[in-house]
Amino acid sequence: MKKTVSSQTRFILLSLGLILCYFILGKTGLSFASINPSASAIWPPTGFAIAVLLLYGIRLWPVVFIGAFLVNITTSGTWATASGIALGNTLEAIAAALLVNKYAGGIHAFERPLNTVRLAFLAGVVATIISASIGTATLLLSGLTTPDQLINIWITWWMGDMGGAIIFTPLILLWHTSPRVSIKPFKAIEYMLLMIFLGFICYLLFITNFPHPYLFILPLIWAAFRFELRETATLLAIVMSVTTYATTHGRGPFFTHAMSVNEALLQLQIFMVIVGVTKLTVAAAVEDNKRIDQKLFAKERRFQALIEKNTDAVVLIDPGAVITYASPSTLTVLGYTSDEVTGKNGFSFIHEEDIPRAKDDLKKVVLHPNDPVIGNYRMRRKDGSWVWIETIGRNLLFDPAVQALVINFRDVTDRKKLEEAKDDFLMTAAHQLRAPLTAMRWNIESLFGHDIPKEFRTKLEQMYERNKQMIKAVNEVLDIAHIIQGKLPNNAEKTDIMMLINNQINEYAQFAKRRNITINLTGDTGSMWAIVDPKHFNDALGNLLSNAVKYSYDRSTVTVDIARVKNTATISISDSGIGIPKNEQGKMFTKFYRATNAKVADAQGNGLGLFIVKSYTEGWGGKVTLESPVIQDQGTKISITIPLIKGGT
Amino acid sequence: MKKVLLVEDDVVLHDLYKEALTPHDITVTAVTTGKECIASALTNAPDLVMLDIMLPGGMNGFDVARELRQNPKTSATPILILTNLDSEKASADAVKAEYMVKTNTSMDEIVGKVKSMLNMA
Repeated sequence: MKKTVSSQTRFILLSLGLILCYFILGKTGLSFASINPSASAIWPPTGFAIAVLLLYGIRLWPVVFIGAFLVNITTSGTWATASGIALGNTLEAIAAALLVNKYAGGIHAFERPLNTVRLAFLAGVVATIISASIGTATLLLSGLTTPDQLINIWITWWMGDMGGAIIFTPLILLWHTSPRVSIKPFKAIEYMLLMIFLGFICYLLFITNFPHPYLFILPLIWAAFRFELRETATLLAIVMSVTTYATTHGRGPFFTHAMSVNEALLQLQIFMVIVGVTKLTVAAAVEDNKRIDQKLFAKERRFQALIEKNTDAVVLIDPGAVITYASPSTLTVLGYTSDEVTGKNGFSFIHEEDIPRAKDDLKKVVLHPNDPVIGNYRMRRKDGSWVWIETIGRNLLFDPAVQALVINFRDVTDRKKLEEAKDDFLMTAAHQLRAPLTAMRWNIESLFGHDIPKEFRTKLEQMYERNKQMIKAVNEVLDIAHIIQGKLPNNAEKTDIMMLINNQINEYAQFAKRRNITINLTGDTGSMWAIVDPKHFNDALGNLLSNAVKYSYDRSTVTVDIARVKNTATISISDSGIGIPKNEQGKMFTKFYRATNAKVADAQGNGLGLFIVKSYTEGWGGKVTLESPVIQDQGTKISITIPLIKGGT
Repeated sequence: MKKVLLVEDDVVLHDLYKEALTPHDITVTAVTTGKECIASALTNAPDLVMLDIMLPGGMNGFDVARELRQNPKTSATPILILTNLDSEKASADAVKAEYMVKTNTSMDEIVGKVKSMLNMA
């Protein structure tokens, strides 16, 4: 209950205070009236009334009415005229507040330049017509003016209210929404300089009668760009007050073409309306920009924080590998501060054995913008220890915001050790398996040399076949481990690969014949020489032939085609078998991957064959391509392209 | 009659080698460690040494091969390395030894290789 009483009291006190303010402003405004005691060329109460209704709600309209009534009853005329004029002022303020709330964002109008213009138009130009019309009509009806004066009074009234709305509504709203003044020494000095500049312009215009009032635009632009909207509005009010005061005292540029004080004030009014709208709009636009800048700045800070707090480090390098930026996490990963590595060549931190690989990777990054390139190198920490670093490089030279090669990197030593342990295990396991497999193989071979019953011989042959399969499987696991560790035994030598192709075809022809599959050799089948390890070449070709036969239908044909272009040969192996599903084609060269339809067709197989083919071929400086039609069951074509050398022995 | 010295820790393989080589007029002396191999090589002067790499007793096949090469009595003896490691061909070349991976080789191929190294083909 007590609370209600106190808030009611507050409401009454507020109303009384506002009425008093209105009264004082009105009296001051009317002191500029010349054409008619009730029609002033400058009428701040309009701006005040609109601001009050916007800030405290339209329910406060009686404040406007009482304030306007009191001003007018104490100026001239009767209860009737004072009531009429007060009615006009009140309706004007209500209309302005309603329009601004609905179309210009209410008290937040200054947050957007367009709303600032709308506020000036709706409150300043539209709503003020009401007051001017009702006021002039009241004066006419009560006999306080004559019809020939009517149009002049109406224009004066309208312009007066317009100036009041455009100058004072923003001033009050802006000070009300951000009343705090924080004085920064440099800003204070600048504001003083601005005032001195303004004083100088006033001196020019009103003392020396310099005829160009548009000089006022200069300090207002200064204010718009260097100070907040609030300060600009204040400056505008000061300019308005000074010029109005000077003009009523018969001085200044508005007398150049004016016959009377009122005409001069009218010209001043038009000038102030134009300048006011322009300035507020410019200032609001500048504010808007500042806000956008702040948002961008905050965003940039956020991204910078993301990079700087990330445990992965980032360096920017130029195409020559010189580091132009290093994120703070470089300290965690390599032990160097950003400054210690900036300007250095990135390769100087890499193990010399890994530098050729790193250079190749850098070339890839440069040549393929936007494609991330992953690398693994040993790098030296500041304390001299070596760590395995995984890098992801990306060429953003052409991105105007970056203009560098971006290298993300992280310490993967632990992961690498685990991988090595796994690979070592694979190697050991494979070797452990080889010894018994050898003994089995030779034992069976030895039995073949004896005279044994036919049914035993068949069983032995089956055992021997399985033994060979196991040996092949173990060999593949070993090859993979070697390939991954980069320790693949490579006995590359000048080899007639055509001879190897013929041998392999002959070998697999036996296997194919059991299912009535024919292997054809077409194309350029003369001798051709390449630098390859014959064992690797046989393994690769054998894998492709074995796949082609395995996944073909019975009574079909597998074709091996040889094409030579300049110094390369392309060996294509095509079948008309089950094919490879389109969505899996990209994964076919990944180790242990097997196409879903291949798993159905043949439950065995380890998914290593194509990975080995690809690794070997790339080792020869060649490439493997896979063509399989989108429709399944339309066969597969895999081609190996390898560089040739000159023939002869 | 040619003499071959075999070093192999898997004794099952001793018999298999012997069984395969004896019909070709080749006698096989089989030992299991590197030290036994050196001793036997110096006393018996074999025409060929067949050497496994992973051996018990502290000396591996390459240690044995190097020592044989350093001793004038055995420096010219042909050596055939038979192993299941397939990454050591370069080391075999360094001691001027031939190199075969056991699992990938049939006994017939081994016999062929031994005979050719003994100029018996």
